[in-house]
Amino acid sequence: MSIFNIFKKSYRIEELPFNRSSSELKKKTKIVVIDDEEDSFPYKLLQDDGYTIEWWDKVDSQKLHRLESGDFDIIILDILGVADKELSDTDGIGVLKRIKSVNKNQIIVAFSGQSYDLSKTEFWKLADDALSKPVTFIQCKEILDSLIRKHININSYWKAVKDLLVVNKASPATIRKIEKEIYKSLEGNSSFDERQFTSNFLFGIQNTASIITLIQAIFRIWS
Amino acid sequence: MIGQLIELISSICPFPHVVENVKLDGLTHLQPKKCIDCHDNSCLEPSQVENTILQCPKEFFYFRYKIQSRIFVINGLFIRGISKKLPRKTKKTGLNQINKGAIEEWIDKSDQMIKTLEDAVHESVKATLGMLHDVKTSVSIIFRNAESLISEEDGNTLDEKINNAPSNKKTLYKSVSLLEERLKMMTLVSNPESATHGDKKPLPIYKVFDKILRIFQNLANKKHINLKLFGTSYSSPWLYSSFATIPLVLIDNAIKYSQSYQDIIVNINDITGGVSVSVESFSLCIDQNDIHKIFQKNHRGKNANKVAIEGSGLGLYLADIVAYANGFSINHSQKGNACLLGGLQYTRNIFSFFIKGQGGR
Repeated sequence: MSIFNIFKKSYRIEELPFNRSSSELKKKTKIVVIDDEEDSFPYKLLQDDGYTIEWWDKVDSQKLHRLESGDFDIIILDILGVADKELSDTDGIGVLKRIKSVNKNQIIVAFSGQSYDLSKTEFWKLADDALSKPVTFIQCKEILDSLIRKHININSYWKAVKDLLVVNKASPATIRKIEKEIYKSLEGNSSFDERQFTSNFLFGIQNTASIITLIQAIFRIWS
Repeated sequence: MIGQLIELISSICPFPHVVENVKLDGLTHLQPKKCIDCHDNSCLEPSQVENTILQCPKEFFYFRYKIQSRIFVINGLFIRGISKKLPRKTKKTGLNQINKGAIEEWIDKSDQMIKTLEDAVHESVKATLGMLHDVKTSVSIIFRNAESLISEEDGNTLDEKINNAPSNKKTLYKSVSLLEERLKMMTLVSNPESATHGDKKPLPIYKVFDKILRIFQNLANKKHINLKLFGTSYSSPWLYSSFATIPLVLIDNAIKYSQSYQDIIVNINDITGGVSVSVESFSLCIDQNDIHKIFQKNHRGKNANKVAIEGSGLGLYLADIVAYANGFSINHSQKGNACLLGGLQYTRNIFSFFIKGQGGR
């Protein structure tokens, strides 16, 4: 190893200390429940318990764009009655596949009462976790807490950003520069300037909306 | 369903055929002696081509095809106009001689029959499962209201609120929890694969059993049965959420078949390499002829039927599926001498299992 490397600072995000309490993370994690039956998921009780969670009865094209862009950290998705035929022939499965095709790191929980149906096996297998209806508040809380512990940290988000950069043909040098920039901003507790960042680092790279959303998530959970 | 379909097709197939390496007579043509005595069995080689009429070294024609993934082999036939060397007896009797196209005709008819049966079963299952979906929707509403009632109680966590709730609300909440677990069991019956839905998570075994024991407390009290939990375990092996079916079934069965004024003892201990669990009760003897069948679907033991306790015969079958999905098996043993009570034999029944691992995947 060259003597200069000993003194060279490493700007690796995985080396930043990230210790946030479960109640802090619970609040910062953005969750959406998509189900045409409002009573199926105890989102109101979970809101009272400190989770940042909203409910949609359906996905339209605008909402799908938000889901594909990584606007939510965790998506809880029903299998039936959540998407119009124009959006997806196969309803929930189609929505799930579309989101995963754009961002394979997006956490999606399959949520359905149809776990008895063999023909829906693909839905369960494609998702990151599963909740079978009917569900209790405690079950939902356990699953959400488990997902937050496992996935809601700056390393997981940085990995997702890197994967998107690689897919969109960013060079290794660009990726290192981006990581360094994010590292320094997090360490210095400075805010994320989307416009400047895009023009400095994402010129010529596609799918910048999703990349930006994920980087915003890093800053959101770090703050 | 597949097994039953194969049996049905086999029983009406006019030609000699082989199913799971067993050579069977057809309705109108019998298995030739040469096929019965054949050790070569080239028609049964897995590498043989399917859906094509082929000839074996003994000059019989055979046809391999699949009925819903199971191999079905029509064998031992001569085809008129194609078979050149017919044995004298066959020439004389016409036995095992078929016309060209007879096999294809039979396949078409049997395919149609299978499809009609499958459609009928599918429609019936669809209707039942559709109703199950409606039940689940209604149960969700009950859950939300029960949780809403509990959330009005004092306490910071749901557990605290349940503890502080009056007994009628506690009973309500426990009843809906039991309902939730029973619905999951219904799902397992129709789709055993659902035992592996979701990610494996660390499950604190002691806590899971404790929760189930509390749910059954009222039922146990009615029979004057004491539910006891002993042992030391801090383990949380990585398991599917379906694991909760196992304590549900074992404790439900123990209460159902136990004598009153007895103890049901659950022992959970961390030992080298994993967690050991046992559920012991003073309950109906399992007849020696039934012992190897207790984990079979729809099986109810001779003694269980005598007491006419309601039961589907599915509990242990489902528990076995879940145990398999989670990488272990449930064992049964009987301890001590049997006693005769009210004309029935009772003894100490023990269901036990061992889960490897202490918290890692």
